Amino acid sequence: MVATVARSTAAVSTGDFAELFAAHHAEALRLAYLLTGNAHRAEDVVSDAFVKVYRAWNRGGISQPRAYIKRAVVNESNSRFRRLALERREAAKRSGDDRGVRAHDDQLADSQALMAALQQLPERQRTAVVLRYYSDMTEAQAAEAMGVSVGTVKSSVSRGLHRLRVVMENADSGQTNRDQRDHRDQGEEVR
Amino acid sequence: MSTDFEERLRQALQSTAQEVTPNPETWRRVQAGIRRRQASRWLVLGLASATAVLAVVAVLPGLLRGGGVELDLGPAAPPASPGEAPGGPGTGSVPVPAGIASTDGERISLQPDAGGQADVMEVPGASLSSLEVWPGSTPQASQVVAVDESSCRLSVVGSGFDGIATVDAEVCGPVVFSPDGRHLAWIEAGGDGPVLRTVGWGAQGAEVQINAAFPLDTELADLTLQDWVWTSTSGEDATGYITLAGAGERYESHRLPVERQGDGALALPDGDAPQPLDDGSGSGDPVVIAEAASAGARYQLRGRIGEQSQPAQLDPATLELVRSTTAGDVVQQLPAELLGAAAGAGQTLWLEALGEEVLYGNGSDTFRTRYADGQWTVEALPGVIGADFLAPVPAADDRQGGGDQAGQGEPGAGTPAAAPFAEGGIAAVQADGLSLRDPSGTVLVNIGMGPLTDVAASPLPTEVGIPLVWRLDDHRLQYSTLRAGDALVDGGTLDVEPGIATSAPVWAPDGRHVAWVESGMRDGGSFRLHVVEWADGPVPGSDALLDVDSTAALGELRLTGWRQRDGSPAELLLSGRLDGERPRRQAFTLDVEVTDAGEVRALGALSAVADRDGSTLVQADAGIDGAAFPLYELRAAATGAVSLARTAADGSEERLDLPPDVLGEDAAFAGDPWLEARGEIVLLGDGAGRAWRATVAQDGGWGPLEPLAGEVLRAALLPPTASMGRTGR
Repeated sequence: MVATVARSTAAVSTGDFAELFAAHHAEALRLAYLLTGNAHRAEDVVSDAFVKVYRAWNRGGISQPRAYIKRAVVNESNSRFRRLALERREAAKRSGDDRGVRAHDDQLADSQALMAALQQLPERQRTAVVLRYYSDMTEAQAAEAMGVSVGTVKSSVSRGLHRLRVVMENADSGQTNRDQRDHRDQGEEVR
Repeated sequence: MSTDFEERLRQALQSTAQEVTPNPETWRRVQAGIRRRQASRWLVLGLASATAVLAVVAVLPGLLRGGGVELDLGPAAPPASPGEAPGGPGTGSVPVPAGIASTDGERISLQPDAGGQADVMEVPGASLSSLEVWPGSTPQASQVVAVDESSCRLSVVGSGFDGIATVDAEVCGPVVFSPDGRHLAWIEAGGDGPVLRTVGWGAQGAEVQINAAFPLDTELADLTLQDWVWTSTSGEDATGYITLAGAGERYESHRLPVERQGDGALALPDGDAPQPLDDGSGSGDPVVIAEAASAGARYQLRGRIGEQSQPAQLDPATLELVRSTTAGDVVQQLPAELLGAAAGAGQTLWLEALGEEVLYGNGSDTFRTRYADGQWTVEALPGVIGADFLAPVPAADDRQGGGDQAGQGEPGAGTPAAAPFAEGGIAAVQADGLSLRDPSGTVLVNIGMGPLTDVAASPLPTEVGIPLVWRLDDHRLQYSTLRAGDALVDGGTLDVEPGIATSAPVWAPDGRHVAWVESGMRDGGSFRLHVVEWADGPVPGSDALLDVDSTAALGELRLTGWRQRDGSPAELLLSGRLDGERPRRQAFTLDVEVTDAGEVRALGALSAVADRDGSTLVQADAGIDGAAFPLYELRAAATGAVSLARTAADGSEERLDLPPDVLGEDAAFAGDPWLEARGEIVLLGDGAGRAWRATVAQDGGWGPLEPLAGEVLRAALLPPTASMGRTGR
């Protein structure tokens, strides 16, 4: 029988754990950034996730640290999303339709449109899409990381992709319209 | 097109992810988090309020900085009443502070007197001027409110939680709690004059739905709140006063009579005209600057108006701390510097008392003093500009409330929330935490704990209270003990691997084990059962695992009960969702044995419960250890009609047909209905926010089905605490 009840932990050196942190920090941060959409929140998520990973590590090691850390980041991101949902809605109200600086570089525009679109997805769809298309997880791996069935991952990815496609295509058409308008304006100036 | 889009998505994700670069500071935060986890075992109580906005900040370990001016207090003054017995009145029941909460202006520190590391919370950018501890707070379960003068906001922190809540109100000056902790008051400067504002308070923080505003006379604009005293309490009714003091052109002190009426609403019986206290300018008698009462003693900071003072101002040389009991007064002379030239008339002097101990200060220097064995002892608290006591955890004999000494009232005294659940009760999971209810379902107190999905209560209370285990919406399982009806103590987290879905926890009837299943089917068609031994918490290393094979195609499996009879193996009650064209719920049982070595063995296979006038969806056992209590079931007939059936130990059955609008076919089959039973009381719900309570009448028939108010996702029946003290061992 496996003993896994945690109560208190004795003070230990974090020396070896520092190596684990150094090896996976950047990857965990980028995953958290895509899940939370905010660099500061991503730092919060990663630091809290590593504190929890430390507990498991300290109890006797982690056989697959990369996967374990990703699971911890997903869990921490999701629990924070619920707390931050109200805050984000409030922020959205305040920001109105002002989407800020227009991007001219296609890739940058794609990134900005993507981040905006990702934030509009429900938590589960966003997580499933990021795990599948950024972390390159299989459906089974994503299901394990999310604590849901493979079927849920499939449906979440499918719905998430559909919504992303709609949002990003709308962004594309908006950009096209702006381009056309700019072109037309330039033409009028020339005339 | 799909492939193109997916490739574009991949590239955009990779590109976006590169926008962030690792911050070296994160490692320091991780190290701090690890140290904090090791050092702090205080439980998150959480705060939930419609207007409380959670601002997450880092909680840094460490101690308050040193510094501060130590004043020369001179020798301790002799007691004025040498005949008084050492220890003073009420010895034997005098509360001893468990520690203090203090602020240095930037941070809030919770320091237990027993030693150990303080929990220190930084409030970035704040300029904290004063703080108050919610009455009844202990190091294990505290709430501290601190006034941030820079933003005129209240910061609220609780022991051990990684964040600071701010109450969305204009609070620039001192605040006071009512002695029973049910109200917080402050003065707001309004354009038409000052306004006394109050907000209801409870274990979960501010309750904005019961706030009130009372315009005050404009002449009181320069005064600050000092104290709130209940002179008498009876049930909901309470009578007392709020003291305001300070200096405009002259020193003033007023008492504002306050009443709480039977409906819990506050009122000012004399309107906006407080009673001015005698300023002593004519008599030469001392005036009261601040006062507090505790354990049969009343403490007052006093001073006299200077003879030549015009307008009337306090003479700094006359400052004194007076301890008054039935045996007489004891006086500590205070240095003139305490009042300070800038203070002018003592508006910044404050006083807190608990048991035999007193904290007082002037907003920049703070002292802790105690009168014992005929002498005062005084300790300066360097760097502390405001402080309050953390109350001790009451002894078991003191839990019944009462103890309304010196008219102060104990926290929650006279309120339903203070009474332990002598007749049992209900812990209901709501969107943002638990609501604790009496046996009829009436809400006594809400505890904001964030999003939960399940709760389970031990069938047997311990000497501390009622052990609870709950599940967060991210499937983590946490535990704590419900003490005296409204405080959670001695908590922790059961170690569940991140990302693994768990079922609701279930208690064994003897309170010695807690079990749950990993609710997702594993490769090979099995579910993993966890059984943890319980002895004042999970016994380290006792998590026994059993992989339960299922021949049925189950989309999900959860535990619903643990049935145990004397000398028999345990029968676990489970409910799963059968996959198929039309998924439906099905009850199962599993016989297991928990060996003395702590292992769990299956004594048979997972068995579907046989149909009895319909398929059985969920089962719940109402039993206490070894007793012959009935079994309750939710059943669905082929017609879709759902019934609640009660099968007695002799096999006799009583069925209650549920109206379709209570639990219809869809909710029963495709939903997540749940059932909870204790003795002759049953709770049931649709898993979507609606719940009902049913009872069995003396003639064995069903009583009426009564809805539980509010959105109830799940609920647990709390055991009667009349049996408190049984350990379940």
